[in-house]
Amino acid sequence: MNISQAVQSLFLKEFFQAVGLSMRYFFKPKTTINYPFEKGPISPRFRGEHALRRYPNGQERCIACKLCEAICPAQAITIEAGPRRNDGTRRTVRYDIDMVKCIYCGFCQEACPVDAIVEGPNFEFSTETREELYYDKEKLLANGDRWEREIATNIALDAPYR
Amino acid sequence: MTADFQPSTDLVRDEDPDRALSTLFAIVEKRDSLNALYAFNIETGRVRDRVSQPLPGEIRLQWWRDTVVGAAGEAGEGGAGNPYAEALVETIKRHDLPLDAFDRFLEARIFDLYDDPMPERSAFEAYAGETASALIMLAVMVLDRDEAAKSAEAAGHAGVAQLTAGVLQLLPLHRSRGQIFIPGDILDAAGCSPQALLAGEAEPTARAVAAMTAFGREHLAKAKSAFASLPRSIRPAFLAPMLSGLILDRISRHGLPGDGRVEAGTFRRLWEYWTAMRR
Repeated sequence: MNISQAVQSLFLKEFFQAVGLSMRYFFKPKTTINYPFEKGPISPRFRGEHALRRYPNGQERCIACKLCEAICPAQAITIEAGPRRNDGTRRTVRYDIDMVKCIYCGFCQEACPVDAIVEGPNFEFSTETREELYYDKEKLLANGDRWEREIATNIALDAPYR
Repeated sequence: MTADFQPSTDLVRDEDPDRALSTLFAIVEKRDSLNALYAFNIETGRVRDRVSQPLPGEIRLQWWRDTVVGAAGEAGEGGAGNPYAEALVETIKRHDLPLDAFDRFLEARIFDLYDDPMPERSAFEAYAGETASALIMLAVMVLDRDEAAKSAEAAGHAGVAQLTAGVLQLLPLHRSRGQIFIPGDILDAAGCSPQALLAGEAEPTARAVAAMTAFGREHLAKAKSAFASLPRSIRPAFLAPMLSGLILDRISRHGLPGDGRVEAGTFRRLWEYWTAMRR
């Protein structure tokens, strides 16, 4: 051991360096987040859980045109259209999405002429059974009601960058 | 059944304030129909914003063709639940608007979905004729059907001028998508290659913008001379296109800003519209 090493050992140089490094990180912003209470930012273009939207007056947007069903490459969407109503519109009586088949390509929302079916920002929809991943119309409309504000904001934010 | 025009009015107010303001100069009974036309223009114009590939975009435009052109025809069954389409179908029926114009409008909109460069001036004028000018003519038909024939020339030139101003303002967005709306022969004349325009090279781009501005002003001058003789009843259809003069002037004076935004304030627009109506 030479003199320099002896002095460093005597004055605990490495110990204080380590404490200094620890304290620096102690006061730095955290790199981790407290999931699930905090969530990282996601892109407006994020394609998560599906939702069926409504107009502000509460009317369903979906007009049973079946374009999403036609374009879906995974054939995950099944739609049955009801009879034409007195006001000339047509609505779905069945709108099912098999979330196990879905590949989250986003074609359904791109083809929808009334922006009814969308892939929203929700990524937390894990289930305990496969059956729970077969979404029906009620589930999709409930998703739309729950996420409408975020979905509308994301569509507006993303539009100029397409 | 009467369609609800409020969604169309709200959409135009939010997305196209120039035209929304111009509808205030039309008589009250015609405003709903004008808003339905302008909402249709917004809805079809933003198809490209909504899609990542041309195929879903073409599907959307085909849906509009089937719904509007089909539904407004003899076997019409309404706008199929889309509030903008319902308002438009009602407008078409109320004012007996020509369905061919909508068909050609939607056909021209397919160009938006692809990144093919605009080949030449005549193609640009044809595109403007099917979209911007057609919209002006349809608005004129809504306002005063009898005067429509007299306004065709003004509508043609005003549409090209309006599209020119719009294309210049959207240049940064088009560049980010790889689209070129400035005609190839204008680029050649300005010594700006398509690659230089897409790369945003300052000098060649400035030359191309200057040439495009001159092209737009040429059409605007013709539109203005024709506009002077138009009756006041149909002038609201021309107010928003005539605003392109203000935008082209600012671009030629100060150059195109980085984000392409050249906007006139609400009071300035109102002043321009008011003076145009009084002329």
